[in-house]
Amino acid sequence: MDEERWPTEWLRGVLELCVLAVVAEGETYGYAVIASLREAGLGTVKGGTLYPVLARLEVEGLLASSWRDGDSGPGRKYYAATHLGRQALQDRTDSWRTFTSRAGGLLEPRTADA
Amino acid sequence: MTTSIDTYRNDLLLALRLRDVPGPRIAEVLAEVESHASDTGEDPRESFGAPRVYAEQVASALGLAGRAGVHGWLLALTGEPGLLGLLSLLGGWLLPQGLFHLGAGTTGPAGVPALGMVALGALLWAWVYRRLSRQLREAPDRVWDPRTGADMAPPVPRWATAVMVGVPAFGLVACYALGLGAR
Repeated sequence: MDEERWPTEWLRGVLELCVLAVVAEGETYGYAVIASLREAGLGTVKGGTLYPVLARLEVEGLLASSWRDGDSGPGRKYYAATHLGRQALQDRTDSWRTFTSRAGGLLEPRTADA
Repeated sequence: MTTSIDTYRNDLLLALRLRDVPGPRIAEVLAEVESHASDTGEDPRESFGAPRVYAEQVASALGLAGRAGVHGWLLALTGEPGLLGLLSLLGGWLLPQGLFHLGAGTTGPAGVPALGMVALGALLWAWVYRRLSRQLREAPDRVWDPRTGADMAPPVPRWATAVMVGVPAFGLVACYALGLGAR
């Protein structure tokens, strides 16, 4: 199935929030986050884009991480949302909804005029 | 073109060092790259981009300076760049000159024994190599693998070895070429 391609700047604006949302659903690791984003229809995010976002969220104290042995590979880094991370997710989700609602309101009349 | 994970990891380590990323964070980044490559089977260059570019992204995400300055380069190469550079040049001159005179059965400038020149040149190069190696491996914040505790820093980059072997070798060949031309 062809993957829908979104403008890079759209994804850049919402990626951090989406990553936080995915990790808040349950402890997970980098590649699984990429798979979740793809399944959600956001396209394939490269490792070089995802891991700096995870690192930034970790530095901000929104995520905690730990290394665990893999079944056959070199081990994986698992991420979990902290209490602060869950609060931030709630706040940012509310802000995002307000933002998209306003942007949507601005676009609606133009779509109707067309 | 595919890149082996070891080559990519070593290039990325150097690029992160040059951007003053702390050792423990470098170790996390390198381990993430390995883990991701193992999960996906992808070429790391495909997933993360060129090591230099990815290092800039990581440094930027951590709020560090995105580009390596002259200070970073010097720090990565030697702690005492002037002294090491001078000794390296001296060794690089003495070693091939000594070997040339040894082969020709003559003494060096001012009657210095050829064997002495070779020994001193080799000694200087060995010391510079050891110093450079230690500088790369024993930085204050070493890069310990968060999974195994092993040191992730390579002994010495290939280009450094190539320069240290190549410069005296080139000097030796040049000496012989000039010597033959003068006859």
